[in-house]
Amino acid sequence: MTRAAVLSGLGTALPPRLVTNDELSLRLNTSDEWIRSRTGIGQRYWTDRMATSDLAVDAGRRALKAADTDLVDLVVLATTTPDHPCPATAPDVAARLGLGPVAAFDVAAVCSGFVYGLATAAAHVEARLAERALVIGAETFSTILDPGDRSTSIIFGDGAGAVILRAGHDDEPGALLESDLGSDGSLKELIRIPGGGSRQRTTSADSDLASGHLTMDGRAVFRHAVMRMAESARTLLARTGWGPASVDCFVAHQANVRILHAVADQLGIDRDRTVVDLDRVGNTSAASIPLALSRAAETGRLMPGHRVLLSAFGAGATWGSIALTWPDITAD
Amino acid sequence: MADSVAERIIAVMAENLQMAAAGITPATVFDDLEFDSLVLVELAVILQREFGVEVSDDELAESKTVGKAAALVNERIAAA
Repeated sequence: MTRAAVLSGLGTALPPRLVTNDELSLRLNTSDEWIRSRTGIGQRYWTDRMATSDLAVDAGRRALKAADTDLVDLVVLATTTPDHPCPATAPDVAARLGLGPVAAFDVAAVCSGFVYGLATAAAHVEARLAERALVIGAETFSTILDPGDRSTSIIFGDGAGAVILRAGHDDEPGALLESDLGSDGSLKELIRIPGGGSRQRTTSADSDLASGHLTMDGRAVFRHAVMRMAESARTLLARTGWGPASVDCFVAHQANVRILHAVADQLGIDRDRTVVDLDRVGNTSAASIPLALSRAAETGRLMPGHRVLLSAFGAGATWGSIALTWPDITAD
Repeated sequence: MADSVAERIIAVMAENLQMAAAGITPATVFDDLEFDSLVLVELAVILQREFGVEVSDDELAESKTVGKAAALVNERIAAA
C-alpha cells in the first residue's frame, strides 16, 4: 500500500450562452452537417460577461462541495486564457473560494493543461507537499478566437471543470496510479497566439506576430495529436499492466471525434468505451477532460472501481496521460 | 507487401467513406472519391502505425491514385 492522490470530488461550470452550429452558419461559410461530419461538435457555450476566473470559481466551489470539504492546501489552475497576462489567475480563484493563503499557480499547457495540472498536483500529494489539492481547468477561448476564422470558431467552447485530490492509498477507488507528460517545442507553431508576448515586443514590426487571435494548423494537429496521445497512453498501459480491453473508460481531450476514434483504434480500445462530450460543449481546451468525466459519471458510464485512462494533446506541443480508478463520488 | 499496403488503403478509404471496398481499386483516383481533407490524415496515421513509415497526407494526395500511394508507402518501407 503506497501513498497516492485520490480523486474525491468533481464539479463543472458552463457559461449560459449556447451557440449552435446553425448560429455560426449564419456568418461563416459552414453548416451543421459540415461541422458535425468533420468534428462531431453539435454546439458549444460562449461566455458573455464571465471571465475565466468566474467559471473557475464556480466549478471549484462545486468540486469542494462534492468532496464535502473547504480545506485544500494547493490550487492548480490550468488555463490558456487567464484573466490577465499578469498575475496568475489561481491566487484570485483561491482567495474567492475562501481557501486562505494556500499555494496557487497557473499551468500553461493549453489543451493538455488539465492532465499537466492533475499530474503535478498528484505529485505534490504523493510527496507530502499537500494533503488536499484543487485542480481546475478553466477556459474562455471565445475571447481569443478570430470571429472570421471558420477553422477555430466552430471548434472551441468555454467552460470549466474541477477536481479535488486528497491523500490516500493506491489501492483505493479514485487513486491516481500513473502519469506520463511530454512536449515537443519544435511544434510550437501548430497552435498559437502569435502576438501579445515578449517575442512580439522584441521584434520590429512583424505582421506575423501582430495577431492576438488563436491560429491552428488543423490537419497537422490531427496527426500529431493521434500519434502522441496513442504513444503516451500506450506507455501507461504498459506501466499499469492494463490490456486495452481492460480499460473501462477512455477519456481523452475533446478536440475532434475523429481524433478520439483514431486514438482508440490505435490503442485497440473499443470506440464504445471512449467518452464523447464535444457534441455538447465543443473543444473546451483544459476544461474538456473534467467536463467529459462529469458527463460520463452522470450518465452511469463511470462506476466506482472502473479503470480510467485520461489522455490529452495541446499547443506547445504538449501531451500527457493519467491512469486512475474511478472513485465512489457524485459529480456536482 | 505491395498488395497488403494497397489493400489496407482501400479498406481504410472504404470504411471512412462508408462504401464497399470493391468499389475502390489501385487505379482509383483520390479526387474521384468524395471525401474531406481529414480522411487522408486518418489514412496517414494508420499507415504509420501499421507499416512503421511516415507518409504525410499531402504526399498521399499528390500520389493521385490508391496504387501510387501504396507504391510510395512501399518505397518508404524498403528504404527503412
